[in-house]
Amino acid sequence: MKKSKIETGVFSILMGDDNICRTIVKEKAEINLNDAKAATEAVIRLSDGEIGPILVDLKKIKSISKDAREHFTMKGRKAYVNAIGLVVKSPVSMLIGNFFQGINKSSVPTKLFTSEKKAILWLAKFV
Amino acid sequence: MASKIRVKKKESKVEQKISKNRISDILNVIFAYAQLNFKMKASVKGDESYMDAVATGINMLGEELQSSTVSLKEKEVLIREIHHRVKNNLAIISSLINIQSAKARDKYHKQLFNDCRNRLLSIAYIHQQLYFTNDYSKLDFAAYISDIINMIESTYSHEKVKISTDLQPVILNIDKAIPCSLILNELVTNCYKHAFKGMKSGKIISIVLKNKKGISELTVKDNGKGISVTKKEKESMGMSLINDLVHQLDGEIKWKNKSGTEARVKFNT
Repeated sequence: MKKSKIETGVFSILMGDDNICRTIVKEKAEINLNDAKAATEAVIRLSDGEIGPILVDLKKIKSISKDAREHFTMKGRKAYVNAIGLVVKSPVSMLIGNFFQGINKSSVPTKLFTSEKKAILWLAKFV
Repeated sequence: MASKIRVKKKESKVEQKISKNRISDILNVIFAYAQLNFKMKASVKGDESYMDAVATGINMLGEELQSSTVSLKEKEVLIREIHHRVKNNLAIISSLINIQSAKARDKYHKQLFNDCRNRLLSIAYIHQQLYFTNDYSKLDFAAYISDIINMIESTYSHEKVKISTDLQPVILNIDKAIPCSLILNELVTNCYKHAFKGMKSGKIISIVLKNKKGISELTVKDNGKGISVTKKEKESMGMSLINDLVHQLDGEIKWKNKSGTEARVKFNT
């Protein structure tokens, strides 16, 4: 299934055979701008710079800084993804997910899911 | 069984106390944000609880509020700076006209330069007033009138004219303030130019500014010899400028010739 995988301080990032990139936020991760930039670099490396969809598993997130949220909106920079599926479960992850639907809305289609399967089904349309 | 209930009750009390402390902590953060103090943050335990979500949400909303408050302040500084620069640029142009007027060979051309300079300064003083207000888009026209009077008095310093004022506060936005300032400048300048020919003393100009139910009324009256409006309308650039500006204000102007000339301009504020 896995082509390759990159570990950063707060993310596990892997590219699936279905060409959907998966980013899993580690438990109690407090994401800052450097973490966000590292995640973007990792996604570019795993996708060889090809634009595709991404699944972000926020279920275990603790917090995310404002500049990191702004980075993930991809406004003012080239977007290396064409759709984002956010998987949420805990109240905190739901809250953060909702920020990405409004205040920190991304420049590409973004949807919240409580099921990874449903997220993958939706993201497959963007491959 | 009884001891189990006691333990549960005790646990519940402890939970209640913890919840109360966390709510109090979050409330303090909200109070601080309400006072635009963004240093405080609600504590997030990382226990995946709803309380954690509330705390995280408050912190994130605080960051967004702080950022928009800062950009709002930056905008205010920018608008202030623009008014300041516009005023300075107009003052520079008026100084250039002043220098040029010194080379005018006759009184007629000198007068043309002076009229042009005063019209520019009338607009410049509006920007100066806006620079000093907190709003940057509205000003109290009554406070501005003294600037115009001083400017015209210094242009006609050789004339001994008493200017009396009766001014009510009238708040105008920049779209209304600029035509209004030019009208005032023309009306008062006309008094100096035409009203007092042959008079040596007792020259009086009165300026009245009133506002009632959103309708402002600017009256400029002199005790001079009176004018023929029809003739003036045909000949004077100042008069056609006044009519155009009154039209721009969607207002009306009424003239009276009784113990001098009275011009009354009415417009919606």
